[in-house]
Amino acid sequence: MKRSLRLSALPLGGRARITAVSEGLLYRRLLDMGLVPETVVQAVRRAPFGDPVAFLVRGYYLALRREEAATIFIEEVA
Amino acid sequence: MGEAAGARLSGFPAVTKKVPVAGSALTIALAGNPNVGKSTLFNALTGQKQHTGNWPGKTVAVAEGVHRGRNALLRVVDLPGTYSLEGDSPEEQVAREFILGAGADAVVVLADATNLERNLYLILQIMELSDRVVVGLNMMDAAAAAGFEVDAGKLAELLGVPVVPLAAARGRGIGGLVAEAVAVASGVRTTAPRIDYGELNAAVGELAAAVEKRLKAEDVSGNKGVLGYPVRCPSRWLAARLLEGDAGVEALFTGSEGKAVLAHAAALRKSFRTGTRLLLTHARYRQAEAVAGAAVRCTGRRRTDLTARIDAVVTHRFWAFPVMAAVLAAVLWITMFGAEPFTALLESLFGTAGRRLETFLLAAGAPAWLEGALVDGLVVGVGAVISVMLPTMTIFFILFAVLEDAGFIPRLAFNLDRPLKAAGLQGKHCVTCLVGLGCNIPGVTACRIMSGKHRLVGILTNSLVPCNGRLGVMLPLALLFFGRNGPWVLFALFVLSGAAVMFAGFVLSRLLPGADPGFVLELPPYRRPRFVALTSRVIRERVLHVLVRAVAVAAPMTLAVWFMSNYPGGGAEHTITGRLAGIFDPVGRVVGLDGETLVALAYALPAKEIVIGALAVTSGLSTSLAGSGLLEGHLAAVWSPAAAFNFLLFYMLYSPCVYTACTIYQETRSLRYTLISILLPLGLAFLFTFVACRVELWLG
Repeated sequence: MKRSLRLSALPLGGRARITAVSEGLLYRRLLDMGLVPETVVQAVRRAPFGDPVAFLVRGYYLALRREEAATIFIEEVA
Repeated sequence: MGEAAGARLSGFPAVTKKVPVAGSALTIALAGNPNVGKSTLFNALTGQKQHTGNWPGKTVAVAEGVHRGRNALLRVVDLPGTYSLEGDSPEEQVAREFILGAGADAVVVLADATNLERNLYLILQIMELSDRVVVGLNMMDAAAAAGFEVDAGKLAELLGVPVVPLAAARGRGIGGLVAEAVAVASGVRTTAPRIDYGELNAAVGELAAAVEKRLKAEDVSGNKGVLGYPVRCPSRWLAARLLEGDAGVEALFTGSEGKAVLAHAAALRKSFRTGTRLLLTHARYRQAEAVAGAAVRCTGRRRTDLTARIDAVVTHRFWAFPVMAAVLAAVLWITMFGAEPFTALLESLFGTAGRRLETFLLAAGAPAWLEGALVDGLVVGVGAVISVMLPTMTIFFILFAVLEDAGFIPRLAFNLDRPLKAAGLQGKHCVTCLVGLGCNIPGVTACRIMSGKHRLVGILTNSLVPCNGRLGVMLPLALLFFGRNGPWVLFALFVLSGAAVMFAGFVLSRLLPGADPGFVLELPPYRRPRFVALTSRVIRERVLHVLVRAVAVAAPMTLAVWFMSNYPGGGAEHTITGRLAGIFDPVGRVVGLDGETLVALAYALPAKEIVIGALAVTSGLSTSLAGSGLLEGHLAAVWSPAAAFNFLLFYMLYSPCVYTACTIYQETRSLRYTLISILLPLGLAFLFTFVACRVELWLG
């Protein structure tokens, strides 16, 4: 069952595939860092205060705030 | 701030100024992502023959040096580390400008073999800009240790440019890289970069033909290119930028023929359902994935991920805090107590030099005022700055560099982003504040790691963090007045400093224009820091640079203070200093201080570490800034612990020292913001001390 989720809703340890990135303030930056559609990302670690979250993207760790992660749409992968 | 819309076009100058190097040297530009060892390679190539300066008109540092090879003299330019070349950040503009401006005969792109896919993204972008590219595949040793291998030959074949494997930190492969770079730069070896625009291939090809025609027409008419664009600027790159609607490139196409090209691009753009910018980025990453997939081979079982295991503690919900506090305390403790013997040694050296000079001047029959000004004013004032700053800054910044190199510093930003965000700041502010604990001057320049409003707020609030110079005064005073509780008083002051930064950030982020620039942070893997290489770099880049200029600012000011405290003569209360103290006394009373103390604080503005000497001068105990043993007895007699606390609080927060203010002007290029950076901490110092004063009265 594929639903349109946002990256900010991905639980720790969960893996997901990016379906779309909406054109927010950091659009270009997020694309440049490799967050393009079809990319598989994994939520790895939460900062002590619960935000930001570190994601494993293309073999490296990238920290994003909830707001930035919410501009990225995902589908869950098995 | 370099990110204004108007600054876009300045990203494309006609010619890049070339610093002359003896003989006909080739120029090699070093590019790459942050954290790939670019500085290490640059230092290995150029040794001591280098200098770092700001890119003209931008607050972006570009280091340049000369490499003497066996049969080649190379000018090496270290471009700022970036993830991309097409963004609006000043770093990206500078890197793009240099490569496009034909300033480089070859571009060496350094890539991290352990993180090839994302590094390939930048490599592909640079291959679009230039056909003289050599890839340096760094950290091959780390990749092998992590259990995989990168096939450099395969990579070179797939990319169409030379690829040289390296372990720059161990000096391996550098000779081969230089040879390859020289071959490409001198045109001995030609490259054939392979760029795949994916579903945009046909459109880029079609538009590039139109652009090419336009470029040729300009060339025939004697022009160097479109609006000063060098001819070497690849038409396919221009076509791709036009397709994604890059305003800077579009502005280069003027006149009816130019407009025709733009219309062509717009028509092509409309034929795609998805945004062309996304399609181009996507295509590059698809190519990066394919190339990395073919060139990277797993050699064995992946070693357990050390970074994940360290992060589990360092970013833990509970353990993160004791770990961060312990690291901070250790850094401060080692700095303070490690610097002590060196400071004492330097002080005695300056003391001896002062006495020698005094004897010499007296023997030569110099007038008393000259002797006083030179010995009591200059030697002692400058001596105080050097004795305190040199040892503490050296130790502090070596420790900072070790933590940075090891990968700890980005975790601080990660851990503390949330609470700082509540005050309108972001995680990287704690990094710039930490640098400020060493010295506010590099603290202010370090704000370049942020952009827009975040950077400005960082610059304006940095001086609220007490630097080593101030800590060197605060620690002994806290111990003098509070004995065993001294360290706790100091801790309370740190908390108040943090509160001042948060409060100022909260107010500024609401008053200053612009949107919150957001927060994106790479967490690089932990690495073993390279102590020796770091030490020499710290001393060269941070300490000496700052020290020389600080002395240049402090020297004339200490002289002026000496004159004001000795003229006109006839008793301490008749000198300019004495009169100023009288005028400011009512102001001082409001915050539990007195006029003499306020004037001493003002006199310490050239260099805050001289405040003890300045107090001795203004309280009439001494006529020079040498300070005196008498002063501590005097203060202990006239100050209550509450008054001492008020002084420490005010001293910690008030206006930045003169050189920090100069640096703030250099970084913001705005008199208004420089003025705010001086008045805001002063206002906060009054506010905080006033409140402390009230609380003390209330507590009795």
